Parts: sequence; C-alpha cells; structure tokens
Amino acid sequence: MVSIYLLILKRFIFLVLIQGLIFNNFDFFDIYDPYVCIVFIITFPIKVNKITFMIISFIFGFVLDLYTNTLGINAAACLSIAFLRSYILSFVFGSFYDPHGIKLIKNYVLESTFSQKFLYISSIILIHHLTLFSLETFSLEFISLVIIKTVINSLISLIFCTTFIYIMIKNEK
Amino acid sequence: MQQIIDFIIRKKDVVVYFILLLLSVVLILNSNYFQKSKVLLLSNSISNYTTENLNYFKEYFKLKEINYKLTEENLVLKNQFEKINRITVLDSLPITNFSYKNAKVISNNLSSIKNHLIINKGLKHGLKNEMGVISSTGIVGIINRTSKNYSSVMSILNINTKINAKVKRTSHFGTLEWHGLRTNYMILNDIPETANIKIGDSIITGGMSLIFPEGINIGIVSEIINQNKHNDTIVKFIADNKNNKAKYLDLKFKENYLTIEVKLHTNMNNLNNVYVIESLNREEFQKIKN
Repeated sequence: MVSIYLLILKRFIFLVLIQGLIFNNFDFFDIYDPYVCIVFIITFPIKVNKITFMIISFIFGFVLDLYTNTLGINAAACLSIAFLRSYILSFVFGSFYDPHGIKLIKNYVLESTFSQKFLYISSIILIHHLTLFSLETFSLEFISLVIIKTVINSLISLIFCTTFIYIMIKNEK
Repeated sequence: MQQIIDFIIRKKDVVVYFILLLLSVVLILNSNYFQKSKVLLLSNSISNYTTENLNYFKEYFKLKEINYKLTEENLVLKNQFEKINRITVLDSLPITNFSYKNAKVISNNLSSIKNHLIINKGLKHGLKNEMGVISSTGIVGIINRTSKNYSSVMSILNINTKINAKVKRTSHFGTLEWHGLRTNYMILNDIPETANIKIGDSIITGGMSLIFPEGINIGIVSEIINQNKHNDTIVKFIADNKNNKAKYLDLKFKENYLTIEVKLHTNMNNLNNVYVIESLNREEFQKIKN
C-alpha cells in the first residue's frame, strides 16, 4: 500500500511540474494549451479509496491553480472527473471493471478494445475541459465560445494524453 | 435523524464531492488578491493577515495626527505643483495630465478566455486599479488588481474588456472588444454606418475615460464586416475562407452601426517592457462625471 502512495506522489510532482512549467506555455494556434495533467487522474490506481482519491485530486488541481493564478478552477475540474471516474469506468468497461482494484489500469489499457479506450479517455478529457472553461467564463453569455474551445482543446489534449499514457505503460513493463 | 445519518454514511463520497466543490467555488469567487509569488502567498499570508488587521485597528487612534500631517504636506506639495504647472502650461485652460511609470511583464497568458498579465510593480510603487497599461507599439490592458509588489493587468484579449477607441481620420468613436478566438484581431463596434471608413484607417484610443490618453495607437482597420443583409441579428459563425477556421462566434450586429475588424499593432505574445499610465486629474473627472 505504501508503494502505491509513493507512486502517486512521484506522478503528482512530475505531472504538476511538467504541466505548470512546460505545457501551460505551449499555446497551439496562440490560445490552446494541452492539459497533460489529466493523465494523473486517468491512471490513478483504482485500489485507493474513492474519498482519498477525490481529496488528492483536489489538492492536485489546487497546486496547478497556483501556476496559472486561477484559484479553484483547476481544482474543481480535477475534483469533478475524480468523482465521475468510477461511473465512467463502469459504464465504459461494463463487467470487466471491478471496483476493488485487483486489475491495474495497465490491464484496462492492454485488454480492451480501441473504442473502449477512446471512450474512457475522451469522456474524461471532455468533462474536465467543459468544467474548466465554463467555470473560467462563469456566465452563460459565452456558451458557444466555451463549447468550441472545449472541443478543439480536447482533441489536442487527447493526442498528448494518449501518447503519455502509452509511454508510461511501456516503461512500467 | 437516524435515517439522515444513514443516508450521509451511505452516500459519503457524494457528500465529500460537494463539500470540496463548494470549497473550490468559494476559492474562485474570492481569488481577488491574486498574488504571483506562490511562496509569499503560502508562507506570509497568515502572519500578514493578523498583523494587518491589528494595524487597521491601531491606525484609527492615530488618525487625527496623521490627518494634520497630511494636510501640511498637501499644502507644500500643492504649492510646488502650482509653481510647476504655471511654468509648463502656456494654455489658459489646463490640459489633462498623465504620468508614466515603467514595469516589466513577468507572466503572460493567452490561452484563457479571460487573459491576464502580471507586472512587477504594485501598490508600493503607486499603482492602483483602473490604470492603463501600454507597450511601445500599442495598448496592452487595464490594471484590475494590485498587491504590494505585483499587479494583475486585464489584457485587451479578455472578453470582458471594453475600450473606448476612435478612427483617427474621421474621429468617430466606438467600443473595442475581443471575441475570444484570434489573438491579433479585435472588433470595433458602435461606429455609425454613415461614417466613411476605409480599410487601412488607423484606430487610436479615444481619451474619453481618462484610463488612456487620447491618441495612442491600437491598430488598423483590416475588414469592414458587411452587415446589410443581417440587420439587428446575431450571426452564429463567420468562417475564414482561406484557412477554413472559425473567426467569430455570436457576433452581434446593431442596426445602423458598422462592425469593424481591427488588426492590432501590439503582438501580445512577446511583451516585455510596458508603461503604466496614471491620470492625475482622475478623481476630479469622476466627480463631475457622476
């Protein structure tokens, strides 16, 4: 159990630094940043208690907020996907998902079909971006702007996140 | 009662989720003080808070003394100011005065819908809210929050920004806004249709609000968006024919007014040195305006 928390801490520090210092300054087409930090929540060990998971994600988002000077926005987005992840997992993987976490995330990635992987990662990214941008604008006036930013930014994040997850899994073997 | 407690225990993850969500929303709504240096925020905030509050309390007892000193100082300064004013201004009507301070950009962001810059001067250097910020090529934004050593500047690339601007050649006034998708173009509204605007006209600040002095360059007219067909409607989507990219979303057209696309002179990507403009007659202007 201790080694799991050590792994989480390692990923926490690594992803916060890489997101805060490198990917926040990427600026594709001037206004789109890839959010690689979601990898932390996508690959979070399922074995860990859900409440602990949510609290850790909240702190993770809060630390990211310190880098972008937007207190609370990333925290709320990370918290939301942490809360919804178990529902998404059971929806996407069906009977293959076990809530006690005997299977690792690695098994889910390696032993599922392409559409399942795609649905899992893209739905988490979409929910994260939607909460992030709608909290950022905080009004219904710019709803179409929020939606188009969510869609384009999700595509960019999806490419980066999948690459990242595959590199991580390759290295774990 | 027992049932309520049972319910909470059964749904404890939902309860924890909403508590944390509430916490983050509170954080979002209260993140007004907004400091760049994280170390300062984390280590000094608690101690500063207590000492600051104590000082507020203490200051009330000294108010009389401070007031007296201030009036004396004021008198001296006023005299000096009058003297200088008399020398420099030959006009019988005094013009609005502006003073400039230089600052450096330490953080700049373009990816958000509400972009902010952070500059390295703050309350200590005499910066206040609603001062204008310009670069050597054009306008940059308006200060919206200040802390002791840093200030946050609401960039012109922010959907809430509204800047008074005018066309240099014809002197028609309008409002400059950003539409969230392209970083080097803005939209100028409220110019009457009768105005004879051409592509290539210069757009400068209007000087109506005392945030920016009159005549600072903003950009040039790059396109007059034709609106005769859709009077008083909302156009959902205007696409760029060359690059097949969305240019604007939800562009609102007013009847009898032009909607003009302005290309900015300032490249917001590589700002480094900026100037903060302080208006010296600001309070007087506000008083007479209200």
